[in-house]
Amino acid sequence: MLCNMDQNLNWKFDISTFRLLGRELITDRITALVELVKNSYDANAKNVYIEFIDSSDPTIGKIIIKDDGFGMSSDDIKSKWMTIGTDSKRKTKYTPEPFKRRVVGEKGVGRFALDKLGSDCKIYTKKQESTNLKLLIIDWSTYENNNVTDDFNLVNNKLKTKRFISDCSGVKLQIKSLHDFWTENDINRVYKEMSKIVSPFNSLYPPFNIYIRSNESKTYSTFKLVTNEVIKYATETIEITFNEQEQTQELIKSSDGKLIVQSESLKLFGPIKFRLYYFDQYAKGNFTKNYKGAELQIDGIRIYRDGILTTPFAEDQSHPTQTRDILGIDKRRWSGFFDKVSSRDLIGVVEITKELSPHIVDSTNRQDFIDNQAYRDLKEFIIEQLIELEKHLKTTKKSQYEKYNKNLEEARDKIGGFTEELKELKKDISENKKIDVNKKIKDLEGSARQAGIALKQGLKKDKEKDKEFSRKESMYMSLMSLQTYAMEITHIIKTSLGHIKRRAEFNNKYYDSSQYKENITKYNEEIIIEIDKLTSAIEFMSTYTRSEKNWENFDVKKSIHSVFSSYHPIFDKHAIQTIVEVESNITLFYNSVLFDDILKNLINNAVKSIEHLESKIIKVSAFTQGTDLVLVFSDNGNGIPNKDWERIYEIYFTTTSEDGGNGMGLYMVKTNLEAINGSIKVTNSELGNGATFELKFPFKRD
Amino acid sequence: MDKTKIIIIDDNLKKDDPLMIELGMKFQDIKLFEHSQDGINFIINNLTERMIVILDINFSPGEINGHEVLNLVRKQTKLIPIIIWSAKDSFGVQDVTDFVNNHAMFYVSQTSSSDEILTRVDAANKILKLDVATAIEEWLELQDNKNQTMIAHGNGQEYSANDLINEIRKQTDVGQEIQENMLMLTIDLLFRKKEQI
Repeated sequence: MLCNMDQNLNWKFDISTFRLLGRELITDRITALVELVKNSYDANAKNVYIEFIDSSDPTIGKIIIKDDGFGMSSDDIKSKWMTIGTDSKRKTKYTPEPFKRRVVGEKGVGRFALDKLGSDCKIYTKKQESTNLKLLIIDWSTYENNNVTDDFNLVNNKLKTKRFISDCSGVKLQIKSLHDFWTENDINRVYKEMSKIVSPFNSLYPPFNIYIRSNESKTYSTFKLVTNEVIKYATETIEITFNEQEQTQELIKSSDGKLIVQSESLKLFGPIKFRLYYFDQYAKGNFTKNYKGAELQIDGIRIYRDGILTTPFAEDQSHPTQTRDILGIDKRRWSGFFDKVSSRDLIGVVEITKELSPHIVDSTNRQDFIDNQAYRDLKEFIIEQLIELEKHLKTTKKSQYEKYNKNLEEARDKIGGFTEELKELKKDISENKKIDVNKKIKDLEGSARQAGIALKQGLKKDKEKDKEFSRKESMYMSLMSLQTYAMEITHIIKTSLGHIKRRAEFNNKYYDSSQYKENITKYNEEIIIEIDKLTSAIEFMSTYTRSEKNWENFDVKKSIHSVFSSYHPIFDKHAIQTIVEVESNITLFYNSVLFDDILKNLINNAVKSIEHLESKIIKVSAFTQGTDLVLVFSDNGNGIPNKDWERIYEIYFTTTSEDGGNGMGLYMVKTNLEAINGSIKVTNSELGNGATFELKFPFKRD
Repeated sequence: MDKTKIIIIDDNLKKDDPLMIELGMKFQDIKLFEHSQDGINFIINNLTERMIVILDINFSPGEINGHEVLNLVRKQTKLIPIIIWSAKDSFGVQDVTDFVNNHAMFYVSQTSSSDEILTRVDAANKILKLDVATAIEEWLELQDNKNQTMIAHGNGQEYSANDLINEIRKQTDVGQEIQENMLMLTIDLLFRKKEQI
């Protein structure tokens, strides 16, 4: 029962400023959720429950975020939630007793996050000692369609109060009229980002548990605790810390095949704790086998301040190669591809405290730290530590080779000796000497086994070496089927030319005949379509002539965005809504032109299948999964009947020939991907209806 | 209008392609089959009809390719002219052997103009006219009472003109024998009685 203590709380400000602050500051919806969860942390919550209900449909779906923190009083709501850009959090650096957590949601931007997620928000809150439940209602949709001339709007939010006697406390946020739909794929990304919020290495007391649930997903059908298990699998572990009394900072050095810890005086950026876990192929494989889907967590070095992730800030794009690679780890991979560790081989935690590292300051867009000498030194320090690790790995590898080479030599000697011993044995037997045959044979067996082991190891290493060579070779693999392509394309071109020729001749012959007027018009149009087909076939061919040069490391996000922006005129013309969610700083070694072509093919098909619909959506998300880049591409069109799931890759298979489809697209996509051990498959529609393709591009090619 | 049926088996041709229109100006019955199996079925079920086949070679996966179509039709009859119409420009020895042994009549490229194709169709049609069955067919068209014109065969059976056409086109033993005998008879009549042509 809401009683007469209800009151209206008014905001008065420029709506567009709010939008600017909110939507620009919180760059994406996953960051928005992260910010809200950080608020819970600041409210001493031990548990946060994130719940997606019917969220695949934004109109009816809702998101609920519930915590068991200390909740808000009316005054808190007025001063914190209702004041934009409050500095209340900056005044109190620590959360109240007993937790005394470092406040993390510094700038009071958490509330903007609500607006990023949906326009209809209800905030329920209760303080432990209070006998009232408060409900704040914010409905932005009232203002969204309001053409007010006044720049400043009176924003009216209802605060209701309801009697509620209970010991509990906390905040429950309920967001409706969602701006986006959330598929299971999106929720997986939420899980992933949440698993990074709390340092897996910091035994926080009390614990800060995050749970996720969705009524539309099997994986999340009950509240799933967000966990981080990855470090158990590391190949190399480095831990360094500092000594506050002696004012020294530890650091590692590679020396004689060992990593040793040294101490130097404290740096400008302040004392840090740094734990670094390196995963080789083998370790990653083990981890991947055991934690399907969680392999994503091997994704670079993050900086935690007072136990909570600060940067790279947990935007969804941020992922694998280290969010925005602010530390510059992966930029180094442009040179020396095979000797450098990448974000995907590392998990690192740099722990700093606000108190001892006052020069490391968040930049205003929350995507990085402010660029100052201290921060630059910190980055350099981390990179230097990585270089030491790389040196160490290289020496280990080299000494392994040497060891196995030595073993091989020994094996050769042993086999030599073995032969000698055999000869002797034969001689002894033929001369009827009295000998202990059993012992002799046992000795022989022993040396044979040793030789066998040494050979095996030597061969294994040899194989690995071979693999490294063939990896380089296979970059050109997709060119091998060039002859087949050429034949098929010739066929397409000739067929097309025939179509054009007959139409042109017909028009030429009968241009003044009224009987065939309709045909002539139609043929003219068809000639144009055929010429377009030809153009695309020729363009396709010419990508091959350029192919060799286009094998390079390129930024996946940039590529996808540039392809999408080249389609803007078409998207605009058909009013197609596009959703592009790509993790930043994923570098893929692949033929960049083919990558673009693959994307263009998918877009072309999607556009054709949705252009007649009223609401048109094309969605692409790209993220790393284990050793692959996964690209999920969806539209909300007619979809692909199950019976055609395999057929669609056949050359000439087309359902869009009327729109100029030549049935080559998916065939080409599949062939190109298979050449690099990648794959493409149709999966159940991510958007409820329409087609969803899952493409995998392996980062490594062995 | 010519009564020879034109059968086109091609998965890339549209119903309103200029070739279809231009063939339509000359021939009254044109059938286009997108799936090769449908084309084969039609031919085999209509062996007694006079027809010319225009056959593509490359089909989508899952379809019976042109070589196989040719082979299957030839197992039934050698009399139907088949024109190969393909975009493929390099054929191996095996392909060529296949075409020759299976009596492919002409080859035209997919890049040919309608006129070139029509020329080939006309030529095939002329050859068809040399066929005894076609001759009977055309003669029959001029008669009033088509089913009562019977001739007796040495085996005691009686055949109408239509029966003869069927036997010849199906290339049965009787059909082949009658065909030969008719040619012999014609020559004999012409030379012995000095009838005028």
